[in-house]
Amino acid sequence: MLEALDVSVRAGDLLAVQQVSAAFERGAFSAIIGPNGAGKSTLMRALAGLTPVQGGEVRWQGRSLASHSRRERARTLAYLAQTEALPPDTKVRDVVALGRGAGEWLWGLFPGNPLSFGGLSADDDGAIACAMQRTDTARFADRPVAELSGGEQQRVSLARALAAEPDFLLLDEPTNHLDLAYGLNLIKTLREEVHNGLGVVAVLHDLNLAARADHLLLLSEGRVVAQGRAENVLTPRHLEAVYGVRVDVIRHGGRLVVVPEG
Amino acid sequence: MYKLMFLSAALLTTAAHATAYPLTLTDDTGRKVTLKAEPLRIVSFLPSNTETICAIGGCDKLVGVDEYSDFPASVTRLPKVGNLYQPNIEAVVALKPDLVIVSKYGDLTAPLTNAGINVLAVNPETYEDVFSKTQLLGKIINRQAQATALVTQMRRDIARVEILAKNAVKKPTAYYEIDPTPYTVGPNSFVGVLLSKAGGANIIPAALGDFPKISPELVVKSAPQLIFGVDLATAKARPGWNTIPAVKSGRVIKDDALDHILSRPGPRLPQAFLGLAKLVHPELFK
Amino acid sequence: MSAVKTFPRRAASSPALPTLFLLAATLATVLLAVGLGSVPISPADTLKAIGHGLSGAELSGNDVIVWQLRLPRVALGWLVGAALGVSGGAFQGVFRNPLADPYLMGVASGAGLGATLVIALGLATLWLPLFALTGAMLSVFTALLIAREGNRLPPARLILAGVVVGSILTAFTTYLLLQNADRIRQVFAFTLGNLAFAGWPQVGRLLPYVLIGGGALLLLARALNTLQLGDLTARSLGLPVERLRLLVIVAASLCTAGAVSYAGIIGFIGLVTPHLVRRLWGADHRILLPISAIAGGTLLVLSDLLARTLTRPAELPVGVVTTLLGGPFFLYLLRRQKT
Repeated sequence: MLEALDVSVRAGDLLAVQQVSAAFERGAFSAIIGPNGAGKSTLMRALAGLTPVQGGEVRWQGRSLASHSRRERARTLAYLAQTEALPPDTKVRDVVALGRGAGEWLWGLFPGNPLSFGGLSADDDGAIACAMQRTDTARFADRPVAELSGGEQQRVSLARALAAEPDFLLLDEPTNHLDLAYGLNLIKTLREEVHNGLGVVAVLHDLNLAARADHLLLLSEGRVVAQGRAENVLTPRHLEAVYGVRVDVIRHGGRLVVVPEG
Repeated sequence: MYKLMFLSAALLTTAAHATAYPLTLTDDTGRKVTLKAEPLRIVSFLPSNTETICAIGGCDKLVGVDEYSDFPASVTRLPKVGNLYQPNIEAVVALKPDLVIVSKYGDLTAPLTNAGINVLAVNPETYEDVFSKTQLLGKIINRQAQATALVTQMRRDIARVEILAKNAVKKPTAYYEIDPTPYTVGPNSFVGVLLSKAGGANIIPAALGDFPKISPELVVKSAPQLIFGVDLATAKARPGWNTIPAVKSGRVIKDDALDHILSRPGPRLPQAFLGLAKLVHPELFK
Repeated sequence: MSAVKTFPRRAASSPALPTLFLLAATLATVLLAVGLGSVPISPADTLKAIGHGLSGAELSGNDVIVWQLRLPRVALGWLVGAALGVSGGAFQGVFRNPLADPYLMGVASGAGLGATLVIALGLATLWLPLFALTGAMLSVFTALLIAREGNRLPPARLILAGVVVGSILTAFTTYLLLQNADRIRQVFAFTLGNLAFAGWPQVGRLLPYVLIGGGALLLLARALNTLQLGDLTARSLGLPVERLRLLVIVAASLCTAGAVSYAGIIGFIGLVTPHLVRRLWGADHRILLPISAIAGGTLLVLSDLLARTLTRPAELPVGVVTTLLGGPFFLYLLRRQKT
């Protein structure tokens, strides 16, 4: 279980996240929603251990995330940044292989076995192949990233994150630059991973995609407004209070759909 | 007393060789310059010109010199006006000169002319320049007789040494380094001409120009018997140079005082030439 | 981010062919560079001279030129080129910016000031490498200190700090030059690169910098690959990004400073070589760095060969040749990228 206990995080001069408490389970798809500037990405970085927390604590596997080694953290919590830089002239397979983590020596800067020159073990090869298959990227394993479309590049990034065989996958606005089909496809892939026991936390802008999550966390101005199942969080009252727009929430085909009024 | 002597000498010769003002001439930057009257307050920006002006009896006309002018000793007491590249224009203007003698290098002409000051570029560079520029300066400052006398004296002093050197049985091969890049001098450069007049055989072919950057391979291959401008320790430390005859025999000479006057194409040319000849042919000057 | 997008596209061909070509070109260049020079020496005599040198026999005539002047010059040139190539590749990788070059952190201006001090103070030229090296490393550490933000080293601040430190040191150098106008040419010679007095001792003294700096960079190659994913992702993968940046900058600067101290400031090799290599071999730093070292060495030996022979027995400054070759080539690369 990945927990935030009363977490406050500073971003620049302002407290972007204030006393947020939340718990995320493995085998569940959680979505963090809220308007721009609500502190979603900052909270995500804190959960990934990429930014120090000013108050409270992020707990992972029963103890403070800060007490985990860099390597342990990298192997169990995978993080997908909002705009991930993919080196365009690198082959897809090589990008995915980077997901196997940094080295072992000297703060993780050097490869475990210097003679292997950062080469990969059979374990690594298996995990990389598996990650590419699950994200449907094996087809262009030998092509340079630059030749892929935006959606395909996003899947390469996902494969890179999955290659670590993590317990949790933290995604910061993964559907941002994707069209409808790619977005749905991504959610479907994530659903399959969740089914296999992965914990997924994603920052989502599209409330209708977020409605498919098992657990929602609604943030506004760094604080939790509501959390829980979709029907409890995506209420017209909450959404109006946070977004300042009147909305209708209707049920369509067993799912909630948010429709702005006017 | 000293001043008076020059003054009377000048007066005596004025009749025969007086310069007629206004005098219009083309200077070394190709600019036409007119002097309305004999210049009485001169600022010199080139040490060799300073030396020449003093040597032809114009020392008392100098009211300011550049910071490198250090000969004769009397000029060191004059106000300093910076150098060609970092001139103190205000100081120059404050001296109210009626003529500023500059080099063709540096950008002094425009600012000084704008300040209403007459500027003239005089640049002695080659061996023959030393004599012609002395005559030219004589004409400019109305000391033509003295200039002619100085040129005659210099030519005579040089010829005396040259005749001695001509009689030398062997002409040692020589390499003269200006800086350790290495840059050297070609036979037609100022120092190159002096070197051959002093009875040395420059290892550098004339085709390479006056100041070529050369390959050290050439020096090793040419095996000079004399090396100038490098100290012995440096020469020994250079790869392969300990096979050069000059290095083996220790005839590797760095004489800063001599290099200093050799860098001044002015009235001390005979003195520099004698110094060089003594180093090339010590046996002739015992 | 946007800088990353301007990396040249990788060629689709297999890297085996370029590797073979590079090795052949290296061999040919080295052979030509040893065989040709301002003094014509036949191949037979050249081989004989090398035999004499290796056996420690008495050197005579052309032996000296081949064994004590030409061979160490080729060796030093190759080492310097390799140092510039590998550190250029590392700098471009660590800043994720294809316009980064080994002199980005003020190495050149620091070394230039050190060299100018020696020349202006009239010290023996034997002191030049030590002063240049000290100046180079001091300027890098100053830039690092200025750029530091807590325990972070943001790339944009690093680049700015490097530029500022470089400009200040260059101003000092220019001031010293104006005070010593008569020695200006020696300083120019340094800033254009000079391999004229390369000897075996210099080769021996430069070797440790290249081995230590270059070796560290090769070991950091995989970490540099990870860094290409961006700071945040790299950190999420367990990479200590700030330490990596610090280590790469120090190692690459050490390499560069060593090279500059013994050969002066040689332009474009460190900028162009990694570009060329990335185009043909791809962007994997485990391949990019060693190949850039080999290619950089070969390019510099070739440039120096041209510098020595085009106007022989006079010489051109080697930096003029590298810039004349590298400048247009770099422009060609930039133009091709746009289309």
